[in-house]
Amino acid sequence: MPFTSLSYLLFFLPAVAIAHAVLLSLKARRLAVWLLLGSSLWFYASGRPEQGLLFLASIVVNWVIATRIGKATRDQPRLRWLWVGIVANVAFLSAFKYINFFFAQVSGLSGLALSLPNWPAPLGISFFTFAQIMYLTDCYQEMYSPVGLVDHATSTGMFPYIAAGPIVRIPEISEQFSEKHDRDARWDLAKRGLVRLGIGFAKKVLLGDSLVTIVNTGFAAPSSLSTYEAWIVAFVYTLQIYFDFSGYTDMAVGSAMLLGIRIPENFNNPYIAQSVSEFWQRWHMSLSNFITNYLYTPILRAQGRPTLKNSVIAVLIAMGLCGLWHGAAWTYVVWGIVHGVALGVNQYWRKSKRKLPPGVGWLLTLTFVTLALVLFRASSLPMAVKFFAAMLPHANLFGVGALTPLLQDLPSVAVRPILLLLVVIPFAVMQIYNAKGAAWAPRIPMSVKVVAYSLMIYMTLFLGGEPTSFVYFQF
Amino acid sequence: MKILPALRVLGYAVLALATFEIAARVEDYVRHGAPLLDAYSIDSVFRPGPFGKEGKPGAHYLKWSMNSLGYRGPELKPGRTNIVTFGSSETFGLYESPDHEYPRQLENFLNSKRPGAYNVVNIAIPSEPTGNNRYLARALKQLSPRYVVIYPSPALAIGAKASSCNKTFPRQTDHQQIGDWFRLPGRLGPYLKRNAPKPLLKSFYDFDIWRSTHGGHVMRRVPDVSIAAYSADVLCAIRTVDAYGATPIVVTHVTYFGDHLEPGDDMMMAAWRKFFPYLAAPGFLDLERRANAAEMEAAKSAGAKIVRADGVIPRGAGNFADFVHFTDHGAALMAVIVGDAILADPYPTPKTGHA
Repeated sequence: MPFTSLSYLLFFLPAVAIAHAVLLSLKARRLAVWLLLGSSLWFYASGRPEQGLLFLASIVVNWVIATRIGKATRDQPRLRWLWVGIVANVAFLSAFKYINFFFAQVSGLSGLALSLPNWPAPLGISFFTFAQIMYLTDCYQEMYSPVGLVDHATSTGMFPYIAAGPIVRIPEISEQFSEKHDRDARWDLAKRGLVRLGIGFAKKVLLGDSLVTIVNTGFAAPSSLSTYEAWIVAFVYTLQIYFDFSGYTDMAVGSAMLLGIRIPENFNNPYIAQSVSEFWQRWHMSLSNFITNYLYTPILRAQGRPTLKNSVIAVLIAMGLCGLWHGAAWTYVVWGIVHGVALGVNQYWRKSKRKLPPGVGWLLTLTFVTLALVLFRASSLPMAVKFFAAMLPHANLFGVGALTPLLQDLPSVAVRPILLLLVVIPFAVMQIYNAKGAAWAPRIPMSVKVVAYSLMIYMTLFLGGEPTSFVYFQF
Repeated sequence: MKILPALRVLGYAVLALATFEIAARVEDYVRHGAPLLDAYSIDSVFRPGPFGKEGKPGAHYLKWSMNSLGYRGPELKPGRTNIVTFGSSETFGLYESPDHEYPRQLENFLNSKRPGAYNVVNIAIPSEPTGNNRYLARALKQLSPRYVVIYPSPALAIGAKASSCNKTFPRQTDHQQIGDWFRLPGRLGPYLKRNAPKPLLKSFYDFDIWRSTHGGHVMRRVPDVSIAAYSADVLCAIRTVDAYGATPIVVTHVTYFGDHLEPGDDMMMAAWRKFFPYLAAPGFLDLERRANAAEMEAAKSAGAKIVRADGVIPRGAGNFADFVHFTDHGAALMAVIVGDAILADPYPTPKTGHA
């Protein structure tokens, strides 16, 4: 059930949110948790019930291991159980996500004709597996005590974030199940959640999806692009993936808020970053935290002294694995390694204490991120190479032949975002300054708010076209 | 005391609806040049005529454009053989993207084989009976076609008691319904149809059918008299075409369901039944079978060429946007089937019509 479907927005989410609010009002907290678990399992398994069983199996195994870690008094069995958990999770993830890739590489290298298993990966496998590895490690480090099975299952698989994150810390969610909030606080959170949900929907449908045609056309035949077009397509993809993924995250955060749950943020204006390391503090933040704390730091520690050289090696390995996490393809691996190299260069640069003129760091970072995203979007490495070749100056420098057919779709490509911004920007500016209590900003009458919200809803529903699938659902 | 807040909420709801309506009108104006204050619906391209509803010359609504003769499609090019397509909404085209309705694809197909040889004139009017021979005769006199492709719609036989051949259709008044004045329902309906959860949509259809038939008799099959009327209508159209010296080509009807219902078809069947609630679901496929048999019998008796589309165009969503109307792909298949029949005609000599 996609977040952008009416089934989700008008029926499933409101029904669960209202039932949940009623149960909390009746102080039936445990029942409210059961409701979240039941609705999440229904959300998860409604399309493919067998996926629900795999998900539940993963939950039970991790819960048993976490309990064992919690109960063990000596360090050695605790460490042993942690390793059992990590190996089990990595094996589970690999069996569904990487086995075809592995078989294909073996076939390619050995010449053996291996038949690919083609097991369909359960929805959100990368996200809930990482959340559980994080949980086991935290339990081992005694940051948290293991939680009960129902809380574990609910916190791991809540429907707002099961499909594509953010990657949550299980105890940070489960401890919210017993938090007491008065009705006003819950209502305030729900109102903010509703606005967040609307913003995410508009970001996805009006902004992200408007750019899909340009990106798909450009990446389908990179050899036909002029240099100018190739750069345009690359930058447009940079925008599309941001609006798509941050739109999804807004909808996930907003949905959780409607249920009275706060989940981690994933984005903090990543495209204003002045360096690659700052970019990763602003982009897919829940994954960045995982990579930093559960991959980079342990690898660095394992090497002994934390020297610059060791740090660069650790970051290269961590980012290579980060790329592989996104998908079983060389394009993702190379994308991760390229980011690892950039982060390594950034570490050397920072150590040299040299400064770039204002704006140059931002331009270099944005250009690098855009170029790296070509690898992320390309269907294969040869295709990425073709795209990079198109970006280099060649005979067709400023032509617009390849993208000309899109000019007839210009209204849907350009008008939607422009209309949206025309409505949203003045409104948002007034809202922000009103919230800050600025004297010059007049209070917005309710009637004006109704008109502005209605225009946003109209544009999202009727000018948005058919929503496409979220990019990060494939991971 | 609580009346004031309730009135305020009502006021905001009205304001929101008014905003939607104004936004829809501005969008229509900017994108389609539609009038800001006048009614704007599919009925804008039709007008009442001496033989029932007819196309309004030069009118357009969204993707539907009428030429200067009042037929859907571009202006006729001089010096080409005219081919007329006659039928109901399936031929007129509802769901296909612009210029992908089957008559337009037929023209493209034929001209790809014999460049610049044919005009295909789409004279179909939605819901018009096949037996409206006076309307057909006027078009034939105007266009002098070499071929007339007749694609009748069996559902129009439901409730028919006699042939409409030679019937005088009362001149309809050009009245507009209240729904034509508002643009929002026209947007909301298709949106909900596309996006609402299927079980909910099915429940709405079932409720609508129940409401229409409550206390009334639901037929299990269409009576023979209606099939006979349908057959007579087809025969009437064939004879009219013959009378104007053109070659009639009768195409059998084809639906989303093909010749059988499959699990999961209940939603689409309910959507169809909503228009003809007094006929039970099994009656629709029975009607299709009997109507096609009667149509072929009529064509055979009149010596007209028969093209079988049933059993040739595969069932399902790939070819049908709803129960009977084509997708672009379905329309393309239809165009090829009909086009092949025309190209296989032993007398392919182009006959120039009036352009």
